Amino acid sequence: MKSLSELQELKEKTLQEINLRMQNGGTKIVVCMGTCGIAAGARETMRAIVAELKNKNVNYASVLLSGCDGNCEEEPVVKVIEPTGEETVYVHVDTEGGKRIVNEHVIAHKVVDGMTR
Amino acid sequence: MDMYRAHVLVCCGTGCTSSKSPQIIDSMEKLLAENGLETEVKVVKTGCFGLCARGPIVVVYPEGIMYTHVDLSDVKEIVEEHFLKGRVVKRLVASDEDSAEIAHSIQNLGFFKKQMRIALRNCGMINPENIDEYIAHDGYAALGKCLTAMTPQEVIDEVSKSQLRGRGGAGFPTGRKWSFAAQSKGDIKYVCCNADEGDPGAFMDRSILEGDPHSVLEAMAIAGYAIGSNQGYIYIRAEYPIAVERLRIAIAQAKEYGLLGNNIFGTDFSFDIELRLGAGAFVCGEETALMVSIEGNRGEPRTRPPFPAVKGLWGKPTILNNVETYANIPMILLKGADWFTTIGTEKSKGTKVFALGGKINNTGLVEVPMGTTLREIIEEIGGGIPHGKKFKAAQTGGPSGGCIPAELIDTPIDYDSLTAIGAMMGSGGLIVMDEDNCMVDIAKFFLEFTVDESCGKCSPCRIGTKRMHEILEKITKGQGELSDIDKLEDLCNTIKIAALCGLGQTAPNPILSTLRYFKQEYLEHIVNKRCPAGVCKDLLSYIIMPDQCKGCGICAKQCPVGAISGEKKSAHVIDQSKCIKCGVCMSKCPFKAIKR
Ligand SMILES: Cc1cc2nc3c(=O)[nH]c(=O)nc-3n(C[C@H](O)[C@H](O)[C@H](O)COP(=O)(O)O)c2cc1C
Repeated sequence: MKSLSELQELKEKTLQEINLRMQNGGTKIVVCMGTCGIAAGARETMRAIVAELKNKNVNYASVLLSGCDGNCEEEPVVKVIEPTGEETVYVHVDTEGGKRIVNEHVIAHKVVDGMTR
Repeated sequence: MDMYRAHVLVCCGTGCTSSKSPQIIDSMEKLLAENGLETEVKVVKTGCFGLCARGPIVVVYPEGIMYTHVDLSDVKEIVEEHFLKGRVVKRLVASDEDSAEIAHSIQNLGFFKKQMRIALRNCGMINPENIDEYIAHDGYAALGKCLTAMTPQEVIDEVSKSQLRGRGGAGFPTGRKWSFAAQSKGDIKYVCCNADEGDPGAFMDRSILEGDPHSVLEAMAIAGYAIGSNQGYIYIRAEYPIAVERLRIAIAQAKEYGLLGNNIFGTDFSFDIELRLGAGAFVCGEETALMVSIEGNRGEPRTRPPFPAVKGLWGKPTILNNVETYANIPMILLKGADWFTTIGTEKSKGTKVFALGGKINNTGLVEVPMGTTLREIIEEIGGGIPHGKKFKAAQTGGPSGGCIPAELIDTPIDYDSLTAIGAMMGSGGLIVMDEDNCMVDIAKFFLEFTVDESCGKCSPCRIGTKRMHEILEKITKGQGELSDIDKLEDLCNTIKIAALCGLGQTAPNPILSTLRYFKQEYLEHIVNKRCPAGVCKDLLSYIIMPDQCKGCGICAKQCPVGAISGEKKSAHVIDQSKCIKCGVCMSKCPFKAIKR
């Protein structure tokens, strides 16, 4: 390492990796992971969301799991909670839907058409 | 780069390590793999979170949920419930004693609320064995700033302006120390770090080195640049194997990245750091003895002046700072002295780390702004005294320090307030005592320590501490006379001024301060041959009240030396010649018929 800019580069790269420890209140993407969710493919959806966040270098959103919230027939259910507390619930989210949530909602700040209740 | 959705931070400080946190990590990694979660959830080993009383500690992010008292057998449940299904394992989540609700984030815990972390900023946040994580938290940015945008004099000025005072005990202004060494003429100069930490009950420096070793390395390089030195030494006791190991890893990583070594950041500044292991003698924490010990000789102090800034290690200008002092330096240079001086009191800026121990619920490591009161530390952060007992006094500064009695619990903790009441800041050991502690016994405990640790070079310390200890022993055995108090005071005042180094000069402090606040307790021992706290065994006897004894025989069964006898259903008696005064009978008697 021979310059400050190299240090800065390394800092930013690692920060992306450990950002989720900072608790700095970014967007939360909550994937319901009850038995019903898992059976409906919630794990694959969740993995697609994490991968897409990485692809797009998003470091202000975190992925959380929760238990079933009672609407088993709508699984996989994904909730997006903005830092403001505003909550959007998406239902029947497959891997493609997961990617759309990242691109359209988390990055472009628009509610994804046709996936809400 | 790997992207995980969750990080599990497992404390691998000394406390949690001895309660099996490394095995918890192994088991967790195995179970994560079995459940196909190894690419989603990352396990990170960290330094101390501070809540040592409730270790092993595991913190899960992004939620910030803190699990406490985690047992190996709990790992399966955490993995299968929390990591696989998102269901928090409620029974293990940290909560405040007085709150039925679980804390949904580590930040909401009472233990953390009043704390402010500067020196401990990265402890429990990063993997201390991964330099990248330190860099992500602005690590080495202060060094970069100094080398590329500041002159050595500007660095010293900034440190002086911050009014940072040494955290190793004496509270000497760090900027002034650096400035003296910078002014000293010499081709070779040295930067030393004092990681001897000999004060019994103190573990601040150890935890910083275990949790964030790079912050000390970075600060030493900054000090080297400021005073014109290319070589640093860390003097650390061999009894701290985890800290030594992490320092070794940190030094190797910093060298690999070129953050230590030649031409750092492409400038013409070069700096290297080596470790020197001490054998764990208290006197080797004293600056002149420490340097003699680094040179390979027997650790004995010498008179000052000349001060180390003029003539230190191998006769060259040297600065010595404490671990915690160094840990503050990068933040001061990054955020500026003006930021630092907003924290703390008029003459004591910044924060202080304390190792809370003794009769306190949250035994552990805390960092608070200077000026926080003892009450806030004990009642709010420390969670109060166990078993509803009454707070009696707190000892700061260990064997060199003094006690703060209950009536002064609202004293703000800063250098000058503590000195004014006959205690001292010390390096940060804070031992809490309750009504069951005898203050004469406490003074005797510390004197026993100084007698053992006196190097023997000067007679006031070698002989004087021994005489003081003998008098205290006499008093606790019930053989004290009133004149002993005068003798003690006389010895204390003489040794204070006549001893060669700080060890002897401060050795009388525990006696002077207990005499100042608890003279009555000394008099009880001497005049009435009584130990009010019931600690001094020679002044104690256990007696069974015949009218209250129902003759159940429980005490006789429990007595480890068979000193209790009696017929069933009639009053028992204790044979005083056999009794070892362990107190088991009293604690087991269902009728409270045994008195002390
Ligand atoms: C007997 C004795 C033991 C000491 N032990 C330590 C110690 O363990 N750690 C420490 O930092 N300072 C210790 N000191 C204080 C050092 O001599 C010195 O003042 C300090 O390391 C300077 O660093 P600072 O200005 O950053 O506090 C001790 C002093 C005496 C007299």
